[in-house]
Amino acid sequence: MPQTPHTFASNSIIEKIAHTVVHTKTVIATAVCLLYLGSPSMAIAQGVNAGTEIQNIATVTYEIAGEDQSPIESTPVGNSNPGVGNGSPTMFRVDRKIDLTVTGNNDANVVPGETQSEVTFTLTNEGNDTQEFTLTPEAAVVSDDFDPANCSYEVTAISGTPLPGVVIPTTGNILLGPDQQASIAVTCDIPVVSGGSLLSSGDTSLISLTAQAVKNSDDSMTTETSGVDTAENIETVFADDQGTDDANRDASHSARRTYLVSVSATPPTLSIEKSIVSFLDTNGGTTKTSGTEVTYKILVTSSGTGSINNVEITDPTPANMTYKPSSIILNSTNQSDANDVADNTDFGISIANTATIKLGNITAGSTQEIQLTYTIN
Amino acid sequence: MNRYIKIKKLAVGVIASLLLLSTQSFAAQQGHLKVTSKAQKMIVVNNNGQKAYKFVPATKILPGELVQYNTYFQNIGNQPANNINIVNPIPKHTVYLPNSAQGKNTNIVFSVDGGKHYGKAGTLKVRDKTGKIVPARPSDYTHIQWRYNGNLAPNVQQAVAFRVRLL
Repeated sequence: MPQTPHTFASNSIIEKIAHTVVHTKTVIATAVCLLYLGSPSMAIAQGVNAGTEIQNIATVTYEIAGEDQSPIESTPVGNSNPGVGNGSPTMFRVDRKIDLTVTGNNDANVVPGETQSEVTFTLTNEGNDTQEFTLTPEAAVVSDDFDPANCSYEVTAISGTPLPGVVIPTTGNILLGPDQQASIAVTCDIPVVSGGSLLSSGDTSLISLTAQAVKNSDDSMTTETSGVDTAENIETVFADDQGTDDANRDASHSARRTYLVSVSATPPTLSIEKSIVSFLDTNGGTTKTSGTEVTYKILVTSSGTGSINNVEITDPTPANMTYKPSSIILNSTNQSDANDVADNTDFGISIANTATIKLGNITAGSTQEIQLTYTIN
Repeated sequence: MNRYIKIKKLAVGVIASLLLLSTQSFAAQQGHLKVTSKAQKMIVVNNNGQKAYKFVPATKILPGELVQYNTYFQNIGNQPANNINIVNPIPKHTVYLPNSAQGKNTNIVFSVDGGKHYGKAGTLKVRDKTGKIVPARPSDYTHIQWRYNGNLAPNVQQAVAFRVRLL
């Protein structure tokens, strides 16, 4: 006996029409009452994760001589054993797509001699597995005016929640899940001279960053699968595009950024002069005898525009004199003799028997005044 | 003594028939239809400037690629089968490709509510994010049902098919 009103088994035209009417009514009723809350399962942008099993089972119901029969489920090779649960899914496993994109973000305007100038990149894992990526900055890009030196990188941020074990910032390899992005800063030192001539305004240097997928989520190395494909195994497929400094489908991608030199029209200049401020003998007078303290002033002045980097002043102890401990004063502030990071000033540590004052980067137009005292032996 | 032997024989006979009975009830039952589901990957190829599909085994499949499922049903009994219905949920992590369900001599209906209700393509409704009732898109389909028209004679095999895109 038929259980369902949707009967199309008859060969009679009249019955077919009758059944069609029933069917149409059902459809109308269905169309009105069908309210499905929620949306179908949303997938992430880069697709289903590698290794996911995709299963399919079809179920067939039928009648023999007007009698309902037990449903029969499908199998990949064919099943005639009736009953729910006696079929088995036709299955394949989603394979591993290796895809990534490196994009360049910020260029940098630099002056000759500038250190640790930063350009930025973004790496996106566009594959469907968690990958470990290596990052390689390359300064020696041809077809530019100069090459920066001492390039290094740091992953400064990643989108979303870092995967377990990922600590940001890092200067090592970076682990990214599907769709995850890493922000990368590449820093290089800009030379003053290239090819025997001073850098000039408009000179450019290209800096390239290449990312490469090297390891999969199951810790296996990222290599493209060769040999016979199977539904069961996870094959690895390289699907990345060609970047500026890598090939198509090589599990790598790259982009370039530019260092643009701008030398100011009035280049900064530096001058230094040393003078004696005072004499103080052991009796409180100003005689120049043994034991008299001589205080010197070193004036560092700069002019023009721009900045002067890594300025370091050294003052060796004059002959027949002895440094008076803790006597260094920079811009009216007492400095310590220890080689600490607090004031970047020391005596006898950076260089033996010498006062070293690391002024660092100074802006053109400024003046720095150093005072220090030696005693006549 | 003779009597004992008789009883013993009887007991053996009873046990034997019980065994036979249980063997029959536990053996795989034979239905009248054999049902097979096959998956194939679809590759778009250029056939003299025309877009065509090539079918290869579903072994290497990446997100975004297309898969065709064929369901074969063969009458392996000796009587015609009728009122045949084939129901196939859209596999998880895939989305139904519009107008891809096909099957000779079938009426094809779809469900957007997990197989509770079925209707023809274009008649189904869903709620959108704001709760408004809107026409269902093919990507909303959860199940497909093929209603086979007519009898399937002994030994005859028919097939239905549909296509999905791996999410």
